[in-house]
Amino acid sequence: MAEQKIRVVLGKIGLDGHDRGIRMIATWLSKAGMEIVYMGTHQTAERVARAAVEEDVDVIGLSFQGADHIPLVRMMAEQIKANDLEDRLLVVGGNIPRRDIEVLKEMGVDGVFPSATPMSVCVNYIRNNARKRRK
Amino acid sequence: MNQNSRSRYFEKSERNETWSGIPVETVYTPDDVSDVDYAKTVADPGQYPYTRGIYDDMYRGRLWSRRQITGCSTPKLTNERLKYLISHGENAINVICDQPTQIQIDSDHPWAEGSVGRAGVPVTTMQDVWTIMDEIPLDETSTMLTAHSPLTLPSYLLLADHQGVPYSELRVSGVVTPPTVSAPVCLYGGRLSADQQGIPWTAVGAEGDDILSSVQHKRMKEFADKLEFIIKNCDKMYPANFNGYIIRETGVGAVEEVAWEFARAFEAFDMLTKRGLDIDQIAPKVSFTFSAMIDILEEVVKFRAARRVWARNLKERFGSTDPRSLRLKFHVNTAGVMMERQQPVINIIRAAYGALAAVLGGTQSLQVAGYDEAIAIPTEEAATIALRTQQILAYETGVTATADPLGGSYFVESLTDKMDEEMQKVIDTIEGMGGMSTAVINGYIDREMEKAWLKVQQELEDKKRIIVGVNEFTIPEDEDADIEAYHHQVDFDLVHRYIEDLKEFKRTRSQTEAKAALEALRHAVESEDPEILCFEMECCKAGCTTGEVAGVRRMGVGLPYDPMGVLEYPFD
Repeated sequence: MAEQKIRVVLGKIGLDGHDRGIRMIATWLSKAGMEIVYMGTHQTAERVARAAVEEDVDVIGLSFQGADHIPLVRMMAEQIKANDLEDRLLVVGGNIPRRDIEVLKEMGVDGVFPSATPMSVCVNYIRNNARKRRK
Repeated sequence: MNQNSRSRYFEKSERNETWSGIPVETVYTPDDVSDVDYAKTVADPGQYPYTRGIYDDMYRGRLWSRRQITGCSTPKLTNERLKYLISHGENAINVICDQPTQIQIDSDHPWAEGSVGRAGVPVTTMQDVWTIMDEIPLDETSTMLTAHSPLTLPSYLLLADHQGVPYSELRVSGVVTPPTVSAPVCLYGGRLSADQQGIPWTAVGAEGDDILSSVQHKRMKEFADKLEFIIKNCDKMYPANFNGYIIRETGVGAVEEVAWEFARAFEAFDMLTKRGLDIDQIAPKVSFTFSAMIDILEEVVKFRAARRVWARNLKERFGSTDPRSLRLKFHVNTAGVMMERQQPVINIIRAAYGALAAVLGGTQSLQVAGYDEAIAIPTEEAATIALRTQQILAYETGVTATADPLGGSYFVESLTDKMDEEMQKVIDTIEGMGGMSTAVINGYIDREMEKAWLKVQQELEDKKRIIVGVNEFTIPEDEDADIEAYHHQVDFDLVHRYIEDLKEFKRTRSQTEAKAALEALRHAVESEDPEILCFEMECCKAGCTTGEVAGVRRMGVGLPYDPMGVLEYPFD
C-alpha cells in the first residue's frame, strides 16, 4: 500500500499580504507529492489551528514578511497548545533575521527557513521530519 | 582549492539574455540599427518622443530628487530621521506607513497587535501627519506621501493652512490613489484591500465583481473630483502616482513592470476623459514609480522605451498635444527584491548599480534601498550609506554631465526598439481584455506573476541564475553578518505609549464633533458629493482617525465598516 501523503497547512497570519514566498513553497511541496491545505493571507492563528485539526495535517507552515513574526508566532504557539497540536511539525519561513531564529525555536518552531533558502532544503526538511512526533 | 580555481580560469559568460529574458547577441553593429529613424523614434533629449530624456539639458538643468524611504516606529522618530537625512543632503522625502495604516485600520485595532510601527510609521490622526512634517519646509521639500491613510492629504492641506503656506506652493506626489484595481492588490495588503481603498475582497464573495465595479465607479468619481481640486489649486503637486515598482517586485520582467502600469493609467484616463476632463489637464499631473534591477543596460533601455511608449500612446491614442503630458516623469526605487539577507553588506554594491541604471536612464527622483532591505526598513546607518551612494553618483562619477550618455549605442538602441515593441504588445493584450481592472479580476495578472516567479525560482535552484552569496560564493550561516541595528530598531516602549496615547486621544476628544464629522463624510460619500475632501478635512479637525474615516468611506459605498470584520461602527 502506498504511504499516505504528507499533509501540510500553509497560511499567513496577520495583516501582511506578501504571498510570493508562501505560494512558491506551496508549489514546491505539492510538486514533491505533498497534500497542501492553502489558506492564503490574512488568517488568524486560531483559524490556522482549526484547519490543522479539521484537515488532520502533519505540518503547519507560516510565512512572514512584515517584521511581526515574533508576536504572531507566539499566538500560533498558544493555539497549538490549546488545540493539542504539539505533535505536528511547525515550520516558519520568510523575512526572519538570524538572531530571531533561536527565539522562534524556543517558542516551539521546529524549522526556520529565512528568505532565499533553496526550495529543495525546505522540501527535504519537511519530508524527513513531517511525522517524527506524530501521535 | 586548485580544482576550483583552475576551472574558474577558463570560465566564460553563460549569459545570452537580459534579466527579463530578452535574447542578447554577442555583439551589435551598425546593421542592428540601420532602420532606426533618429528624428522619428529617438530624437534629441527634450524632443518628442522623449526616448533620450524629457528635458534638453537633463541633470544640467536640475539634478534628480534624492529621496530615501523613511518610516520609523512613531511619527516623532520618523520626523527625526527625516530631518537627519535632510541635514545630510537629502532634498526630497518619502514616507512609508506600517501594515495597519496600509490596510487603513487604527493602531489599537485587535488585528494591529504586533504590527504597529514595525514596517513603517503608524498614521492614525492628523497630528501624526503634522508630527512627521514638523519643521520641514512644505514649499521647499518634494514630498511623497503615499496615500495609505485617507487622512494624509487632508491633514497635509490643513498643515499648510496652519503654517500659512499657499496650496499652490505645495510639492507633493502620490496623495490620491487612482482607484483602478491594480496588481499591487496582490502584494501590499494582499487581496484584502483593492488598491488600498479598503475594499475587502474576502467579504465581497460571489458578487465580488459587481460590488467592485460599483465601488470602483464611485471611487473613480471621487478621484476625478480630487484631481480637479488639485489641478485648480495646487500647481506644483503630482497627485497621482502609478506604481510599477510594486509590480516588478513580484518577480515579473521589465516589460510587464511598465506595460501593466501604463495599462492601468490608460484605464484611468479613459474613465476621466469620459467624465469630460481634458487629457492635457490630467496627464501633466501624473507620475510613475519604477524599479531599477541589477541588469544595468536592460534597465536603462526600459526607461528609454517607457518614455517613447508613453509619449506615443498619449499623442496617438489620447490626442494629447501638451509636452507636459507627453513627458513621462518618474521616481525610481532601486529594487528591494534584489537585496539579499546573506552577506548583507554587498547589497550596497547592488543598490549602487541599480542607482546608476536609474540615472543613466534619466530618472527625475531616486531612492536607493538600504543594504538591510532584505530584513528591515532602513536603519540610520543603512539610510545614510544609501544617501551617500546617490551623492557619489551625483557629485563624483560625472554621469550627470551629459543627457542620455548611452544613446546611440548599437545595443541600447536596438534593445530599446525591441522593448518598445514588447511593451506595446502587452498593453494591447490587456486592453483587448477590457483593461487592467479586468485583467486583475479575471486572474490574468496573477497567473502571469506566478509564472514569472516560479521560473526565476527554478533557475535559482538550478543555478542557471547566479546570485552571489545566495546560490554561489556562499559562506556558512554562522559566519555571516547579522544586522545588529535591526534588533534595536523598534522601540517597543515608544510604540506601546503611542497606542496608549491614541486610546486616550479617542477617549478625550469631543465625541459629538467626531460623530458629526464622520456622519457628514458618510453622507458625502453616499451622495457622491464633489467635495469629499472638505468633509475629510473636517474629520481631521474633529479628531477622527484613519480607521474611522476609512470605515465610513467604506460604509458610504456599501461595504462593511471594518475590513477585518471585527469592529462595529462606533457611533451607531
